[in-house]
Amino acid sequence: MKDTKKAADFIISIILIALSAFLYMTADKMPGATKGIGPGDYPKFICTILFILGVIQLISVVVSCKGIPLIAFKEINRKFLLRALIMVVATFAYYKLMKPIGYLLTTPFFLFGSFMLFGYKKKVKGAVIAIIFTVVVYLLFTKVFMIFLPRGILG
Amino acid sequence: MFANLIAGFINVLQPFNFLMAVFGTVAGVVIGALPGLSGSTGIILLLPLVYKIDASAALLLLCGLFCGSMYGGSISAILLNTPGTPSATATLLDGYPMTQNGDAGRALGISAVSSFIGGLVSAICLALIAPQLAKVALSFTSPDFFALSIFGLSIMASTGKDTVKGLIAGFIGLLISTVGVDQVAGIDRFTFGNVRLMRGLQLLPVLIGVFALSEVFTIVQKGGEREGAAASQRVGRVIPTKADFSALLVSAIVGGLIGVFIGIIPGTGGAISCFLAYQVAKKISKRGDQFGTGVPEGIAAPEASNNGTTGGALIPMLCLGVPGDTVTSVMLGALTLIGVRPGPQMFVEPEGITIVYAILAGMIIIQFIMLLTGLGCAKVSPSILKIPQTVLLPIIAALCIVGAFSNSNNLFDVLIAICFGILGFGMKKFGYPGAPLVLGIVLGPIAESNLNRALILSENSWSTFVTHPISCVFLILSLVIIVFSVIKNIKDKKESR
Repeated sequence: MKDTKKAADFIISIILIALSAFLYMTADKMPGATKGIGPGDYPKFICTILFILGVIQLISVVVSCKGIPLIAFKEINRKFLLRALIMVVATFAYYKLMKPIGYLLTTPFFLFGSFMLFGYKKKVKGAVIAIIFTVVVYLLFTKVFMIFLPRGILG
Repeated sequence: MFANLIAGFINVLQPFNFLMAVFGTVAGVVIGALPGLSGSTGIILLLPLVYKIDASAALLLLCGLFCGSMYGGSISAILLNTPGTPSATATLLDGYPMTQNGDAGRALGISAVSSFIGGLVSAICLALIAPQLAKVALSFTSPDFFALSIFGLSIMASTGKDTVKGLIAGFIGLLISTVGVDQVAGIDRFTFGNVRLMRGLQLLPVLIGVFALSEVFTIVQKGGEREGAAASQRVGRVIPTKADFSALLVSAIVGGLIGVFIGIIPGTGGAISCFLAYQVAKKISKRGDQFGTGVPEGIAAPEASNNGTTGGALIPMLCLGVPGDTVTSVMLGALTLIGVRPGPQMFVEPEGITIVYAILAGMIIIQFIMLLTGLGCAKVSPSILKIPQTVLLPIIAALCIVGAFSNSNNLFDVLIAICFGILGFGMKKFGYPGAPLVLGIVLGPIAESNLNRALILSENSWSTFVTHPISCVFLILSLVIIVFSVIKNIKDKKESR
């Protein structure tokens, strides 16, 4: 696990150094101010510190590993990482479909699918919970908070 | 002050405000009881509701949730030997043995009464200390506020296992706060031509992503979701006996005071105070040698101390705008969202006074609500623990999406929440704390405007931060904290090898 973390720290520190340098250059193009700080000065100050922190992190990883660490993906529990990935994709699909299809139709499917993904065994109970939750939240938001959730094809 | 406090009590006892305090406390107890869910997750899930109600009611809801979740954490610690929140870790040392001895109800009752005593001690300290500290903070100038922001960030960054990672998270937060149109010059910053980024990254979707959605992804990835815990013990008598009450009283008061003290120090919290209070109670108790076998003092001290931290953590947040722990950093974000800017000005502006004294009075009333909820819920506690995470987690994910959408009826905010959920998940996985990131986003604009003002007033002289004594002290303290915590990190790493 430690090797995986160090490999990740190594990659993150390189990304951080590159990103802070890029954003510094972007901020450098912003106009300055004669008094006080201009719009680019404060981001430049932050980018400089992030760059330094990235370098410190990089040096500490390389020194502690006595070289560049190799990624030890073997130690990651792939089965569960895959489930996290499916959950992320499902959440993203839910967001994408909510506008065209609508909250009322997408939410029960998202919930029921997630219950099954997580291994909830009671299918009928799961379907009932998914529908009740969807309707209660819909009524709460539209009638009490006056926030109109996307209606999609029902609209 | 006394008149303001009376007005605060009247405000809290308004039916709707009182109802929100009750709702927040009960929700906090339930959320705190469920392992894996923290008070900060609860606050975030309730944010869409917070938006729509009056500031005093919203704050009572948040404070109730904060206090309730502290007590709620002890329920699973006592019944399952698994703390619901990190703050309840020390409670299981004597709470679970008492349950194994067949006294689950007694343990829950002692926990509820001790949480009440600790919470009451902290609420009284909050009411006494906060107005005085605010008076001192009123003399702060722009350089002082800039240095204070850096100090808050340094403290929050150095509480984790790796200070450099904490600082990286904090400064990324500061950088994120610069996205959008600059308020002074009207120049686009880091929008890269995306019109939707011109208003900046909204705090609510970021909070939802970093603290709630990432929690769902993390639990799923760990494969730790439960089908519902088998905590089916018979609870039995809940109200502590006279003997138990006299045994727990001293430990609870001492624990409460320790909690207040630890809570005031920014960046600490219940997880630290509960162990400290446990050790102190062990030393002062006549039956210190029996600790770990299920003695009332062993439950009373950590439970009183973690509830003691609630009022303590609110002191720096209300007076200085610097949160005491992760939950208060989320609360600070929530307050910013509803247009309340914590700081000494709150104690002098008429609108601020109403809100501040509603909190001070509310914190006292919430302790009574928490006591009644704790004693009342004890019998049904095993049922709370039976809620399966396989159902709860997808519901939380859906609430996150709807909550992010409610920010401004905009699906772009949902996308932001998902992106920050993934970022938060990655940060957790590789040891980058989320609290400094959020604190950076909240403190970013305050730091920038005060830096700008300080430099304008000093004709661009950076020495202004050293010549102002308060600012100088904060900057030196920040440096000392960072240096010491980096040295400690290096020592810890060497020892663990």
